[in-house]
Amino acid sequence: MSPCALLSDRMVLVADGTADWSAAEAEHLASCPDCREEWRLIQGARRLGTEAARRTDAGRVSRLVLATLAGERRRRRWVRVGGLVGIAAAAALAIMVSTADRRGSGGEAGSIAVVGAEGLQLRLAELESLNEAELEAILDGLDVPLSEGAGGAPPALGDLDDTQLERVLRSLEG
Amino acid sequence: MRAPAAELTAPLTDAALVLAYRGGDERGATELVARHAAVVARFLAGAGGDPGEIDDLVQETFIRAFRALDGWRGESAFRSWLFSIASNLLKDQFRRRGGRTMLTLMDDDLHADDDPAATLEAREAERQLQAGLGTLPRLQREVFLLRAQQGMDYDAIATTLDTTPGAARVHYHHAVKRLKELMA
Repeated sequence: MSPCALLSDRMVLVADGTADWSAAEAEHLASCPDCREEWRLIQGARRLGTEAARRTDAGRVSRLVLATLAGERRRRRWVRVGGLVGIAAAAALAIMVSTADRRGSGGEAGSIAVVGAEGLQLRLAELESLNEAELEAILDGLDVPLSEGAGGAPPALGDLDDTQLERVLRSLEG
Repeated sequence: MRAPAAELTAPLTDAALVLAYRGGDERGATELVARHAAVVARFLAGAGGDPGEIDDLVQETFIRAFRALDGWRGESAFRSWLFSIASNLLKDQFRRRGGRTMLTLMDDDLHADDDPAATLEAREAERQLQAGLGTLPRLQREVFLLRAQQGMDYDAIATTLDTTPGAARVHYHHAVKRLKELMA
């Protein structure tokens, strides 16, 4: 490295005040116009922008910066809340539509189930007056597997065999 | 065991302040601004930031920095990172102005001296320097300022301006050569 390059690297440190010229460096600087010119440039650069720095009010800057960032955070939070509300609303709507669909397609079965339940209540009110055989017949009816009985349409009377018809008649007569 | 008193009173590092701010303590941000705002303003003014916009540019530098704190992993000094953001802001401003660099010497950049002749000479030299900086390519100008004005080494300059230390050294020497010619 040439003496000029070595001195160039040292100039910043001396300008910072973290180093001093050695005797040899000072001698070179005094005798080298190129290095003196560079040194002047560095000293000039050190003074550039000093007024801008002096005029900068760090307290004001930090207040404005923090206020801006807080505003952004608030906006982001509202966007998030809005998003969640939107998702919740969409989910609620989807559930409503899905429920309505199910009622629409399975409405008849639903009403049958209600009627069935009401019918059961009526029958239950009469249970005390039934004899053993009649109660047994009802229990047999209740033992029908779910896949056969529940959820589907009640069997039409024409589908029942004689024994079953007899049981139904007996249960209705009390 | 108690920490020595010197440790207890030692100022927090930038990294510790960043951590404090990220943990919700706004005093971390306030202290970081207090430490670096003036230096960033000096750099922006020297690098051609519009004098009327330096305050806004300083604010914007910190806003962008704090927004992107998750991206700062501490490999570079916080101040270098700020210079890097400030440099990008200048680039944007330069584009908005249609490629014109605005470099003006504020009258108060040179304070009254005991020797009026020396003050006048120094003022003239700085006016020339500022004008000369305005003619340099952006990278040369910023490398020169980070080196000559801010005292950064080439490794840090390279990290700040996303180049290599060798390239930064070359840019610096080109800038010095050109400025010498302009000021001769």
